[in-house]
Amino acid sequence: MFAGLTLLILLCSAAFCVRQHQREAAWRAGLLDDCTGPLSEPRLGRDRAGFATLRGRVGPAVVDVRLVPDTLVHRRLPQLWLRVTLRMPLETEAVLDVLRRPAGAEFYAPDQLPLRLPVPAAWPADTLVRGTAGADIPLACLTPVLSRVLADPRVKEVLVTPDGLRLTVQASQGARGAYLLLRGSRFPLSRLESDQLADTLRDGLDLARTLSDPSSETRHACAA
Amino acid sequence: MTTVQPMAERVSAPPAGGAIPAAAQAPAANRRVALLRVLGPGHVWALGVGIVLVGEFMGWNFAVGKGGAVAALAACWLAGILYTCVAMIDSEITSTVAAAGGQYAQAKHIIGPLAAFNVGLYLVMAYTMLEVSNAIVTGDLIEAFAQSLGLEGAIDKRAFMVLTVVALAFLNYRGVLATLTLNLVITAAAFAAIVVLFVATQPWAPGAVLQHEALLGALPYGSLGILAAMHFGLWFYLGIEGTTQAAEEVRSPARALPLGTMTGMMTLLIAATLTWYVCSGLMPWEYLGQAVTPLYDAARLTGSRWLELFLFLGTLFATVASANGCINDASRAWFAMGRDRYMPVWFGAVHPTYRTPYRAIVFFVPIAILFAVSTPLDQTITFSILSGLLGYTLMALSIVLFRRKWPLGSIQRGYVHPLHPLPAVLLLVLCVVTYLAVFLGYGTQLLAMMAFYITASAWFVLHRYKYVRRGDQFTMPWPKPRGY
Repeated sequence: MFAGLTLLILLCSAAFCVRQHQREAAWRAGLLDDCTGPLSEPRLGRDRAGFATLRGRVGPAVVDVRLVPDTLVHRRLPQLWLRVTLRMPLETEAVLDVLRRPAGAEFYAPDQLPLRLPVPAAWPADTLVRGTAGADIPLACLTPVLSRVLADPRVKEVLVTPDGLRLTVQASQGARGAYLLLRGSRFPLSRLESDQLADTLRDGLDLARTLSDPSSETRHACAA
Repeated sequence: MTTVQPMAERVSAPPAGGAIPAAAQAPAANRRVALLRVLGPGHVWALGVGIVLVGEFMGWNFAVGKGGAVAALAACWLAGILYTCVAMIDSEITSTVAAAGGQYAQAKHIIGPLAAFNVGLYLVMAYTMLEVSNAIVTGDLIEAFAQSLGLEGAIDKRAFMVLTVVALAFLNYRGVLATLTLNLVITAAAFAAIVVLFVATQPWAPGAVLQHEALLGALPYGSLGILAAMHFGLWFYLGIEGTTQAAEEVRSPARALPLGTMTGMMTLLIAATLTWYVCSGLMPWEYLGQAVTPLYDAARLTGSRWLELFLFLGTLFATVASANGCINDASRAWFAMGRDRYMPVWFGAVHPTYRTPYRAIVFFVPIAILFAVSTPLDQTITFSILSGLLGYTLMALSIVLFRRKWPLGSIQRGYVHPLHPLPAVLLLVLCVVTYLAVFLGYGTQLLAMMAFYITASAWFVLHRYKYVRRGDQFTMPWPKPRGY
C-alpha cells in the first residue's frame, strides 16, 4: 500500500511538472506579443531557450529584440533583461560600453574591451565605462543623451559600436520567495508592455542620431 | 540548509540618512522604482525561517553525540548569541555595501582580493559539503524506508546518493524552472511534517509517548560536553544571517533587518527545541547523537506508518530542495570567481541556450559524488560548518576595518549596529570557542581544512593574483578610505 501511494505521488508530481513546463514554454513564447506596434515589418520568433524574439525596422535601423534571463549573480534575484539591438552604421570607429551596477557576471556585455574610461561626474559612480581606442570621442558626444538615458534606473547597459548600438534594460525581476526556496526564476510579468520597448527604441534612436548628426552643443563636446 | 538570501538588482535609491557622496546625489541615482521596497520585518522573518528549515531534519543531532541531549540544548542557546552578533554586524555591512554578490562582494570592497578569494572558497566549500550532506541523507533515508517496506538488501544507498547529485546537477544545468510551484508545496509539507510529529507524540502527556524521564540523563561528558556541542550548535542557525541580504528591498532596513533576523532566530530556537524535545524523548542520546535522519527515526519509533510516510516525504523533500539550492549557489560563487579571474576564466562560461554556469556546475559533480560515497555525514557537515565559521571570523575583522576605513558619517549606512566593537569582540571570542569545540572531536578535519585554505591562499598570492582585474573590483560610490 505504501509503495502504491508513493508511486501515485510520484506520478502526480510528474504530471504536474509536465503541465507546468508547458505553461512556462507558452509564457516565454508570448512575452513580446504586445510589442509589435513600434516596429514596421515585425516578425515574432523564438530563441533556443524558447523566449520570444522580435525583429523589424524603425527608421533606418534594423531592430532585434531579445529577452535574456540572468540568474548568474550570487545572492541577487534573477533578472529578465530586455535587449534591444539597432543595426545601422554609426559615426564612430570605436566601441563604447557603459554598464550600470557591474557585478562582474554580466555575460551579455563585452568582456574584452581594453580601456577603462573615467565616469562623467554627473553619472552615478557605480558605473563602468569601457571601450576601445578612441572611445572617449563617442563618450564625449553622447554624455548629455546618456545622462538622460541612465537616469532610468532600469537601464543596465548601453553598447555603441560602428555597426549599431544595443541597450539592455530590466524587463522584470524574479520573485523572492520562488528564488529563495528552489532558486526558481518566476517573473511577475505576463507580457512586456509596448511602451517599454517604444521608450527603449526612442533612447536608442536618440543616441544614434546624436552620433550621426551632432547638434552644435554636442559637436562642441566631440571636438573638445 | 541553504544559506542565501538574494539581493535585488539595485534599481532603487539608497535609504535616507547619513552623508551621501556627491556622485551618489546625481538624479539618476536617486530615482526610485516603485514596488521594490516592499518587505517588512515579517517578510524578513519568514524568509529566514524558510531557508534554515531543512536543518531540523538532519545534522543538529550530532551536537547530542558530542555532549548529550542537555548539552545540545545549551549549545543551541550559546550559538544563538554568536548569530545575534553575526546578524547585527551583517545588517550594517549589507545595508551599506549594496553590491550584488553577498559576502564575496563585501570582502572585495572592505578588505581586498585575498579576503574575497577566501570568502569565495568558503562559500563554495560550505555549499558543496551541504549538498553532499543532503545527498547522503537522501540515500540513507531511501534505504531505511525500503527496509521498512521489507525490501532489505534490495537497495544500495550509494546509488541514490549519486542519483541525487547527478539529477539535481542536470536540472541546474538546464535551469530549474518547471518544478517551481511544486517545490513551494514541498517546503510547506516539510514544515507541516515537523508540526504533525510534535502533536502526534502528545507532548502534553509526558510518559504516554515521550520518555524523557528514562532517556534524558545528565551530561555524559560534564560541562566540557557543552563546549564540544558548540560545534554542531551552529547548525541550528547556519544561514540565518542571509536574511540581511534583503536590505535593498525592505521598507526600513534599520528596523526590519535586525528585528526580522532576531525574531527568525527566536522562531528557529523554538522549532529546534521542539525537535529536540520530541527526539530526545524517543531515542537514547547514544543513538540520537549519530542518527542520519533523526526526525524520520522518531516517526518510526511512534509506530504510526502514516507518520513514518509523512516524515519520509518531509525529510526527502527538504533535503532535495536544499541540495538543489546548494548546487545553484556553489556554481554561482565559483562562476563569479572565474569571471573575476580569481579562478581560471574557463569557469566563467555561460551556456548559450540555458544561460547557466554549466562548467562550474559540471565541475563539482564528481567532487560531490566522491565525498558522498566516501565520507561520513558528520564529517561533511563539519566541513560545511567550518567554512561558515571561517566566514564569521572574517566578518568580525571586516566590521572593525569597515568602521576604521569609512567612519560613521563618511558614507551612507542603512543601519548602524549598536555597541561597536562589543559584538565584533564577542563574535571573535565565540568563533575561537567553536574552533576549540571542533578541534575536540574533529581535529584532523580542522587542520586539513586550514591547510587547504592556507595552500589555496599561497597559490592565489604567488600565482593567480597577477590575472585579477584589480581596477574593476571596486564599484561602490564611496570616498577613498581613511588612510588611503
